[in-house]
Amino acid sequence: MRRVSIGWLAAGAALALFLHPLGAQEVSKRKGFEIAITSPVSGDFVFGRTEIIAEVKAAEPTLVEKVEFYVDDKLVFIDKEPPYSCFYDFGSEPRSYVLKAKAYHREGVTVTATSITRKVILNYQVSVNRVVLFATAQDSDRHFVLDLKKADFRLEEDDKPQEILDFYLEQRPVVLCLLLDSSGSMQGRMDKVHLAADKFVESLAAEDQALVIDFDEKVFLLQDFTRDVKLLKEAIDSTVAEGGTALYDALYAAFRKLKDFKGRKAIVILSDGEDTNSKFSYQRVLEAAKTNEVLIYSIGLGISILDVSSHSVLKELAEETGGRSFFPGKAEELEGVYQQIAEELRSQYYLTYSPTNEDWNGKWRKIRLSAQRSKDVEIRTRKGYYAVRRSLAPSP
Amino acid sequence: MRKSPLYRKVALVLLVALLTPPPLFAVKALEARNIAFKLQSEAMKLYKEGSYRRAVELLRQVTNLSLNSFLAYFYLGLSLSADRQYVEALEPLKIALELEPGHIQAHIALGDVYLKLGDASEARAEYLRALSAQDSYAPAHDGLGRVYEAQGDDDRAIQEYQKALQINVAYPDAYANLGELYLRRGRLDDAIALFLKAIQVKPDFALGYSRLGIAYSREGMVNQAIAAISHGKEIAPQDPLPYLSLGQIFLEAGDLDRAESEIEAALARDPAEAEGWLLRARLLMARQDLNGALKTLADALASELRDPAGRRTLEKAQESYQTTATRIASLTSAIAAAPDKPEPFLELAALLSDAGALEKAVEPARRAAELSPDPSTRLQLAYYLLKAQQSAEAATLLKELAASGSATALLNLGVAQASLGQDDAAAVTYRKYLENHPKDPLPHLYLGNSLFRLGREKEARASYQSYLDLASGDEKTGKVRRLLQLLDKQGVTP
Repeated sequence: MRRVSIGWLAAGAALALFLHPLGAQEVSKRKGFEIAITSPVSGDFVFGRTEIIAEVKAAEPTLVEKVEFYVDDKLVFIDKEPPYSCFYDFGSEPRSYVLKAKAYHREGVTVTATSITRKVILNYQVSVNRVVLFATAQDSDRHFVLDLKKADFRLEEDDKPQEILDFYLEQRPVVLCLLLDSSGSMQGRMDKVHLAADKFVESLAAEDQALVIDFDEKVFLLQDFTRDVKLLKEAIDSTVAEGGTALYDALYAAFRKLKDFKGRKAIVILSDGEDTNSKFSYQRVLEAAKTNEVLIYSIGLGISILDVSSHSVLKELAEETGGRSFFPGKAEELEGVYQQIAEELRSQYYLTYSPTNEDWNGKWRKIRLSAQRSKDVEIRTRKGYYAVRRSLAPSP
Repeated sequence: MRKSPLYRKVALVLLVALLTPPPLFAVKALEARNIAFKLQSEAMKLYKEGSYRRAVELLRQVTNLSLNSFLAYFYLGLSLSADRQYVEALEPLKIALELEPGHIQAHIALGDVYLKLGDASEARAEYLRALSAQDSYAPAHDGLGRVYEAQGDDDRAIQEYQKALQINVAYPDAYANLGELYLRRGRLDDAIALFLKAIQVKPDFALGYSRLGIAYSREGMVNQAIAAISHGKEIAPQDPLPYLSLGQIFLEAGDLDRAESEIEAALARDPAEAEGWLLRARLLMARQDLNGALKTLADALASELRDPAGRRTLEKAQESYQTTATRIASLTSAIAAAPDKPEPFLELAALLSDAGALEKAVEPARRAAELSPDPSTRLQLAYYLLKAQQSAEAATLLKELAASGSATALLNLGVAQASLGQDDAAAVTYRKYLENHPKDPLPHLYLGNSLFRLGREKEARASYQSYLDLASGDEKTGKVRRLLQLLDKQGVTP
């Protein structure tokens, strides 16, 4: 076979012509002159009309000539007076925007700050102008109240009354994720955890589906969604306590597993301590909780109100989503806690409303649902939603 | 040594996991950890070996088991992207970045996927995020270059490629991308220099050889082009790109049989390669088979093509070919309705010629000339004859037209004579034309070529120099300049 000569390679032309010196680099700090975008910061997501704020530091502030604001390289505003800010309408699709603020010093120096917002996809049912809520009503003795009528509820969005459209006691099955902390600190309590969680899955309705996630510093799916109680119990009973705690990673994984399901979704998470190993931050998980329509039931085993961080994390996640938090002191109490959760899942109302505010600007809207007449009835539902109308692809 | 029952149990589960889809059965907690670790190691090995689909299969199992493993999600994203499953690659790469927010390579990989999907804004954001993590990272600048190129901002793209090369002078991708940009803009010398540099810094850079071959072929250096691409084939025998590059060169040279062989070899290596289908359609067009070309494009679009950019290219080609088919049908009807009018015949000839059906274009042009034997129509017939390489008949016609005073016919007569190997006669014809059109650059080039072939190198050199003095910079000037340098080396002076 004839070999191909590659002698022509030696004929390479000089390359110096291609390599010009780099242009002046954009820096955020130069000779005591400094700029930073303080809002939104990199990683934030933005919707609708949003203020962009830049903070400029200079030895002599009066020598700051101006600050130019750019969105995706387009100049959108020039501010000549502190505080340096501008408003920009980012629309209803939270994609990645490259924000730049460039400050000019009267002596000719410029500094530039960049902030890159994040693309985020919301995953809840705000389509066809309807907001969907799942609500739980309990009296002062913590009994579930199941005979309320539509008229018994008062619904407000951003303090404005809303009309409830669909309303009924939810009978449809639930899809849930059972998250079990098997970190080292759970040693000696796993038998009771197994027993309590086993009874919980036994109490699920025949049409309910569940999965089992086991987490220490790693997060493992031991059983994917199934209606088979035997399989769920096998997975639960196999968990062994060792390692650290990646609570947030486990929660985020559960959101991911639930994203493709419609209807009522819940996470039941048992943990006995602070997150020590997660790669996800709490803020990220809280954001996921707010952008996904999932009820969170958190069980903080042995966590007292004095464990400020762990207690508040589990409480806040539950409250934001319309779920509930429990803090049993002993493993023996777990069985009762799980049974309360099971009962609550069979005692919820489904309701929808069409918001009077039709400006779908992507902003967070507060929801308040309360009992119309009786002050003794406590109503729980999620705390709000982002006003994006489109039915979007699921996330995270 | 006797293996423990636990070991055997784990090994058995692993074997089952390797052979089956993600487990629907309950996995014991300890088994889950062992299986995930083994599968992940095996999958990363497969990825590095280029077995992307198999890697994807295993990594899907891992990510269905181990829900916070950065490496599993990262490699799943990379493998899906390498397998052109760009939409599917988005999610694992995003999850990987949630797990390791500062991971520069994951930002680059996600940016690349967005760019493949045509979302330049998100791609740019990812490359900038990589730069905010490490401000002098060559792949991020290279990515930005590709973003700006996709947005039509070549100047900014060039700046970014140059930044990448300043940061890393041994970064072959940036040389190749900048070379590709120059190739597209007709700066062939610059493109060639960059491709050579890419190969120099990475001698096994198969893509560099293929692109170098294309650049050489555009320069008319066909032998060097074939040599370069053949070397690319030797380096990466399973890579379809060198075959496609050769197919394109042979197609453009009119060597349809060799083009077909290369195109089919490329498609055999990767049936999801859109460029292969496009070249197959172009080949059929060159063989005057419009229906075959349309069917090829329809088959391609119905197949498992995953590259959105490739799909768009094929859709565009299909639209263009369908327009041609519709127009041909309409002209055929017009001709049937009024067979004595020359215009529809000429229009049909132009359409067929533009579509690559050069021989078929001659017939309607001939019919038009029969219906309307005026100089303009006959000149058009001569043009289509020349394009279809029917040079003898073209020369006869052009001689008659030139005799009646047509300057265009005179110039084309020279071209026809040259293509018949009559360079002596062609040189005379060109000189005659240049007496009245001395500022027209191309005849100087053609004259130079004929003289060069006749061995009259001093005269050829003078003609080439006249061409260079008159022509604005284009692909041909680079080639002529190099030819002059060669003549200078050989001591040929005017």
